[in-house]
Amino acid sequence: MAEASRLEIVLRDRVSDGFSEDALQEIFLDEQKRVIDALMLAEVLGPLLTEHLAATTLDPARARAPAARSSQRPATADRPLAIADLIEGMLVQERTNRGHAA
Amino acid sequence: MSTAALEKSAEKAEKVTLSPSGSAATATATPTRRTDRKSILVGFDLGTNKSCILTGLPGSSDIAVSKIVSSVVGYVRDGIVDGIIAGNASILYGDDALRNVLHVNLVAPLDRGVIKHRDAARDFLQHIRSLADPAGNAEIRAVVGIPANADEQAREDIRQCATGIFDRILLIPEPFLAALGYRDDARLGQPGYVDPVTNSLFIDIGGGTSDLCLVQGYFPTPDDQISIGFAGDAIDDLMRQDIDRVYPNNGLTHLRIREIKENHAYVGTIRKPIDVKVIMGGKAHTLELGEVIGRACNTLIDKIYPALTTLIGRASSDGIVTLLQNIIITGGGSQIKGLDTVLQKKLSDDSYESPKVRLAGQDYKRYVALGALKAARAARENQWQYLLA
Repeated sequence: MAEASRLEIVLRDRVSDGFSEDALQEIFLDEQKRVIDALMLAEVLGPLLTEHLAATTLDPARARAPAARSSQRPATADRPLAIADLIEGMLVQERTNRGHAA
Repeated sequence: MSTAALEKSAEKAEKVTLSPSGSAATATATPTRRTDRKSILVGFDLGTNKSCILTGLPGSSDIAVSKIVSSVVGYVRDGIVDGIIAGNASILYGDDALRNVLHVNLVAPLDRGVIKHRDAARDFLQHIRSLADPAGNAEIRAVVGIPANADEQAREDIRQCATGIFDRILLIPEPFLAALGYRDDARLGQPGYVDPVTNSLFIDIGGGTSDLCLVQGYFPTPDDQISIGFAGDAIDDLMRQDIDRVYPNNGLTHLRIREIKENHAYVGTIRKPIDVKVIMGGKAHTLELGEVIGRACNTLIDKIYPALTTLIGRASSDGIVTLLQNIIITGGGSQIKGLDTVLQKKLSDDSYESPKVRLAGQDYKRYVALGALKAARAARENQWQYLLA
């Protein structure tokens, strides 16, 4: 959705007078640059993410917790959970349920 | 995509994502602030028989409006002479409608916690809006309580009925809101104060449904909630059947039976006599209803107790002892005499460890709405759902 909206804006801004070969070439080069940037970012983040997932898997309690519950840290007596975090937990559940229903 | 959604997506600062198909009236959004309209936050307990509305302004802890309204709409019958109905209104709401029962067709918008009559529900919500915003030009952000485990259709019905009346909405299960409302924010972190949101089990007994919910420091999952379609109205129905059997042609209305229940309801050992004065055929009679009331109310125990023990069985074993001491009953059903002691005794008899069942107290009618208003004040901008006409 976000990509489609972004592309819509790009097209509206750049090709209001109709498509030209140069305009298409310019868009193509811009998109190619974005893809390269994304790949580079993935290369940097990949090892960090792998390390994080390994740590999570080693913790059996976290590994067993249902997805919706693990999306938020439970409240404790000395650290009440913020209401907005609880609402966020609800919204995550709703999205998950809709995903399963779909 | 609706026209309104398209217009919003054209505003570059906004990111609008439509809800799944079938619910095109809603969208979650990261909105731009509209400075030309005042916002009013609404905590709304949309109950089968009684609804409660609390309102406040963003950034303030004051409550501007606090009202309990009977969930009923009265459509004035044709041919009523001018002046009989105040202001010659065509629609009456709540207690006004009940007071004019002879002159209106009463419609209860909800049945068992969910919308049954959409047009009446829209009229009722419009009335609620007028209570919150008499001037009619504010942006209304409402957190609305829904029964535990309300299905998507029930949620969508509320959204559609609220479209064009409220501007943004959040639907949150009632027993969880009751826990939020019951939470004493001033005492959070104090020694000895057990935050009900951290570890408790709420039993919210309303008119249409009895909702039980484990609240253990995270938002309850569907497995943490049980909704039973047996509550105040079902008790009324059982009482009516018994009264009709013993006293045929009694002519008692549904409202009168509810009134009798509200004055005399109890659970536990049958109490006799409970003499109730009623008017039948224009003559005063005294009915002995101890057994009728006790039998009907004890059925509630039979329905709730298995759900209660099921949820206890699902609770995390780590905090189970604390949980057993934080079983809280709220909603109109909490006024049934002996409900707490009977449930507690049943748990003790079944060898649960030191159970303690408490009543939420005199504010039982407001806890859901209070929790809803707290949620409205705390909700992040991107958590509200837009209602797009």
